[in-house]
Amino acid sequence: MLPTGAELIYQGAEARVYCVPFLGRKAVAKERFSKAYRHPVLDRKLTSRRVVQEARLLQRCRRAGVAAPAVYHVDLGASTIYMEHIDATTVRDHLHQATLRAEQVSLLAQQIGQLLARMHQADVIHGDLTTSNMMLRKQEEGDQRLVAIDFGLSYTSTLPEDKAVDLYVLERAFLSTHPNSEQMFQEILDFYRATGKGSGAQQVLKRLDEVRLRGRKRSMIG
Amino acid sequence: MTGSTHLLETSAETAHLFYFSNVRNAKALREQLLAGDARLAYALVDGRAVLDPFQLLVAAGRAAEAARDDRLKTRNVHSEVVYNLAPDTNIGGAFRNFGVVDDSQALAVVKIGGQRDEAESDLIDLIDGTPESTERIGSDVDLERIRKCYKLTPAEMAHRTQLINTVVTAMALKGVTQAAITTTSDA
Repeated sequence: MLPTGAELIYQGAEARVYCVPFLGRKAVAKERFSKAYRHPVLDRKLTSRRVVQEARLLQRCRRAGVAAPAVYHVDLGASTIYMEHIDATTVRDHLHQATLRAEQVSLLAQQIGQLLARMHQADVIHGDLTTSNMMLRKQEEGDQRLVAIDFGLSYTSTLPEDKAVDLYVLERAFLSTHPNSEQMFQEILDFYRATGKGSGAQQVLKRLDEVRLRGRKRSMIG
Repeated sequence: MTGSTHLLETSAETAHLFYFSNVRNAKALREQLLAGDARLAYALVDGRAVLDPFQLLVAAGRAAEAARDDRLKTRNVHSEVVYNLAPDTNIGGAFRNFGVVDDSQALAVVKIGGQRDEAESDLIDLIDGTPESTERIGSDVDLERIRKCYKLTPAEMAHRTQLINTVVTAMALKGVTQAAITTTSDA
């Protein structure tokens, strides 16, 4: 059960996200809810599996040096993950606010490119990369200002195809949310290539060219 | 008054924390616990293994939930607190690494439920040591021990502001395994 004082901050198709008091800290509680159209047994199984998967991927990212919210508690019975509340603005809002200088944009592109490369090196596919799912901490904590959030659609895979589609989803989100960001996105890919050198980044980017031609879904013919 | 009281939101239980330094009867306390002395209804944690009070509270919160749902992995709710501090499911190892041992000199104590004053006077009676303010919790931490217990990487150790979060994440994911991670999607 959610603590009293929980404040709903986001409602998605799969989960509700609350801001809650937790053992003296401010935390985020993400509660996956059941789907009435699914068979109850299947529903419980799927929901619980996804909660576990999301929590484990958050840890996997952190281990790999990708800043992601810390997990405070997993309540499988209530399908809820309690995690670190990150005092931050989304990259989306950051890019929309005022005009940023070219070097600030480059620095952000560098942080994004490096984060994505490290995440893919750890074989984590985010599954829903947008500029709303990347946040900039207000307070500098070491060099880790950029934090990836919402691993609700994430999974692990070693395939360049999956990593390329991950980047493609971000590219589409980027270009539709931020007009004239082609150059910034190219910079992100350049940093992705540089950071992921020797661990398949080149292959992923090559694959990205193919994905761009055909779109996110793969043809099942043949 | 030296203890502190905290609400465990997920079970609506209460936890009291205490801290003792210069403990001289650690061996006797450990033997008492081992013998199952009912009077020792406390979680006694070696101060060297405690980084932050938050670490103790996360362990306490999970123990209170397990007790409520009748799924304790150990003898009682207080032994469960010690067990919950460990990142793996080895109960003996958890007690060696986090519980009171013969050479413990600083002890963090967690009491779930009950009155703080009662627990406090009882503890002063039981523990031969100096009661400290709970603000001192974490001041006797042995970082090398923390690194080993939680199998932390050099990068994780270097990130001091995130260290406590990394430790708590390791605790929170203990036993959270039942699902296989696959690449299939049915969304």
